[in-house]
Amino acid sequence: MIPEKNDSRWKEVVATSKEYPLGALAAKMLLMRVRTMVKLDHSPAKIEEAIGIAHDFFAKNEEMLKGDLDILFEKK
Amino acid sequence: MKTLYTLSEVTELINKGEALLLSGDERILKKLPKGKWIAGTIPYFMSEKGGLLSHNEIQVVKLPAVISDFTIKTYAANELKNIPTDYLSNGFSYIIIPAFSGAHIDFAKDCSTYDGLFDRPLIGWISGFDLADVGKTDAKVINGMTGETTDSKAVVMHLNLPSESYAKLNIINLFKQGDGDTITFKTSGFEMIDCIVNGQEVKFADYITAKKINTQLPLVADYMGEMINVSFQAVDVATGKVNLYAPVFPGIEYRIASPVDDYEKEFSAELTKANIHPLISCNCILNYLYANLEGKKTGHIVGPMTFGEIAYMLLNQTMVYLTIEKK
Repeated sequence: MIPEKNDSRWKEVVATSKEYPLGALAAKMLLMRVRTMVKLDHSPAKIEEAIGIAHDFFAKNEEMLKGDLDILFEKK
Repeated sequence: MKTLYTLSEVTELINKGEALLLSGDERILKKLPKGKWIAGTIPYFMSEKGGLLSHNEIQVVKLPAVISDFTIKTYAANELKNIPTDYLSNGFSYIIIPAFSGAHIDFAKDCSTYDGLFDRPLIGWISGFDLADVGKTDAKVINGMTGETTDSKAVVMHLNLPSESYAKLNIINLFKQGDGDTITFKTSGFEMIDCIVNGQEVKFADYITAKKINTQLPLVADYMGEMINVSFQAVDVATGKVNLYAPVFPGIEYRIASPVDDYEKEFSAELTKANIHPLISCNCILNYLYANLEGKKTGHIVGPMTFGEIAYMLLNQTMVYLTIEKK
C-alpha cells in the first residue's frame, strides 16, 4: 500500500538528500529528477508537484517496485 | 553466440518473418528487404569475435518467438514526448536516434520530463558512423516495416511480453565519482562555457586546461547511488566552449571520474558479479576507443558500440542491457 501524498514521508523522499539503497534504475532516475526539481525551487508548490510525480510513478508501477517501496517507507 | 551476419543471412532471416533489431553500416542496411525490423547505423561492434569495425556485417538481435506483439513507429523531435503513451502494457521499448539530430538533442535534454517515461523499460542507443567519415555522412535509423530511412527522427519498436514475464533494464558503468572538485552548472546543455567549481564560478575550458584534466574520463553524477556519466567531446580554449556528448543539468553535482585501469578486466569482474544474460545490450564507442577494445571481449556481452546509450535517459561511456525475467 502506497502512503497517501500527504504522508510526511514523501517530503523526506523528494526534498532531502537521504540515501536509499534502491534497486530499480527507473526509481533512482525518477527520484533524482524530482529531487533536482525541488533543489532548484524549494517552494511548497514545487514540493507538492514533486510528490505528485513520485506518487503517481510508484502507484502506477507498485507491483514491480514493491521492493523499493519497502525501502522508501522503511518496511525493510 | 553468433551475432554478426552477412547481408544474405540477414535477408534470409527477414524473409522468414523473424523480428530483428539490427545495427550496421548504412550501405549494407539499405540493401535489406522490408520486414519486421528496425536498425541504426554504426559499424563498431562488440561481438563474438571481440571488438571490431566492420562495414560488411550486420549485428542482429533475434527477438524470441514469444515476443509476437509489437509496433514500430518513428518520432520527430517534437513527437518524442509521446513515446511513453505508446508503451505496451507489459513490455519494453527499443529506441534508436540518429546522432547529432534534433531528436537526439531534444531527447537528451527533455526526456526525464516526459509523462510516464519511467513506466516501462526504454532501452536503446544513438546511431553513428565510421569516425573516418566525420563530415561526409550522417547517422541514420531505419524502419524496416516501411523502409523509411531518416537522419532526423527516432525509430522505436514497442514490444509486449507474455504475462508471466517482464523486462528489466539496467546498466554497468565502471566509472565512479573521483574525489576531486564538485562541478555544477547554472543551465543545461551539451555546450558549456561557464561552470561552478566548489561554489566558485569559472570558465569551464580554462578550468579543464589549468587542472590538466584527462577528458577521456567523464563527468560523473550520483543518481541515488547510480553513477551517470557525461563525456567530453571537445575543449576549445580559444572560444571557451566545452562540448559534451550528453547534456549537463543544473542542480546536479558532477565530479571527474576516477581512472579505470583495465576496462576489460574490471568489466569482466562486474559482469561476474551481475551474472546477467541480456537479450539486448550496447556499449559506448568511447569505451571502445579509450579502452582499446578492438579485438578484446567484454565477457559474453555483445552489441553495437554506439554514439550514446539510452536507459530511459541518454548516457555516455556506459553499458546498458535488458533482460527478460520471470514474474
